[in-house]
Amino acid sequence: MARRPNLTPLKAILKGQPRNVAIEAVYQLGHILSHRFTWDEFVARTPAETKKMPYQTEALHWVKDMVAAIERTEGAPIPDLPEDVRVAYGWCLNGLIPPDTSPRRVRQEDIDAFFREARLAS
Amino acid sequence: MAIGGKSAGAPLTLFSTVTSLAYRIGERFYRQRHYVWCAPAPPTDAHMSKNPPSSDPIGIYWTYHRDIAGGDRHSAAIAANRNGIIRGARNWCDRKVISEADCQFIEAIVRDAPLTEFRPLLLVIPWRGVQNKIVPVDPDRRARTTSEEYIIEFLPRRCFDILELHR
Repeated sequence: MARRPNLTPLKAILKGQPRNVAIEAVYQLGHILSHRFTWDEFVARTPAETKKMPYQTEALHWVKDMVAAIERTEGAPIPDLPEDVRVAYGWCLNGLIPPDTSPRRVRQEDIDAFFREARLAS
Repeated sequence: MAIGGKSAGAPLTLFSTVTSLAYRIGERFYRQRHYVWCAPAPPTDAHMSKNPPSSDPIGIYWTYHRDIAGGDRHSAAIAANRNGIIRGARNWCDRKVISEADCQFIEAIVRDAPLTEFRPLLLVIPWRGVQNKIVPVDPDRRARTTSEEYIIEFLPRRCFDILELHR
């Protein structure tokens, strides 16, 4: 695995954004990295999803800024980045999603039961 | 309108790779409907363009399999799948398809899930059953990219079979 990327510039871009915006931005940035899209190619693909929520459209602004930040940091456009660099970014992008601070409604027993059922089913 | 297909007309079948975790979440929380990226079978004609590896369902299948078999805790494919499932849950929650409690539950499961929960499944999707469910990409725009792939936002369970290639 390549060296761990510096996420500080990306965190600065998403700082203060609502959690759903950050989740959407992280997903779309991961998509760009895995597909080696240029920004224009990525934009060309986005109509493939219908009825975007307003926050999903808003997230694209921050995605564009994050793409620019990565390209500045790495000194190359996304399609030209070595695979190990793109993989390294892709692996740690979820670190950009802020923790869920809403009241927790999930019981650990239910999570354990979900995985137990999965083991039985497979 | 002809969508997809490497020759005149539509493909016979689309393929999609999903993880077992994503599949079970779709079955349980989205009423047996699944959000999938899919693509036709790769062309056998060497002169025709193929999808890049990131858009090739068979290639994606073996990437998951290789990462799980190798115990790759730094798998970018699995990290992306985690983010995709979380994003999907947030999306359907904001659209009132699932409750906030279900959304939290899904996110908790995804964060806790070990590598083995990301076992790949190959969905075999006959075109005729989904041709009205496919979200087409504007052909003018699609021409700017080389890959031929589609999104089905709500793929009913009755519209596909499941294969596990590695068993």
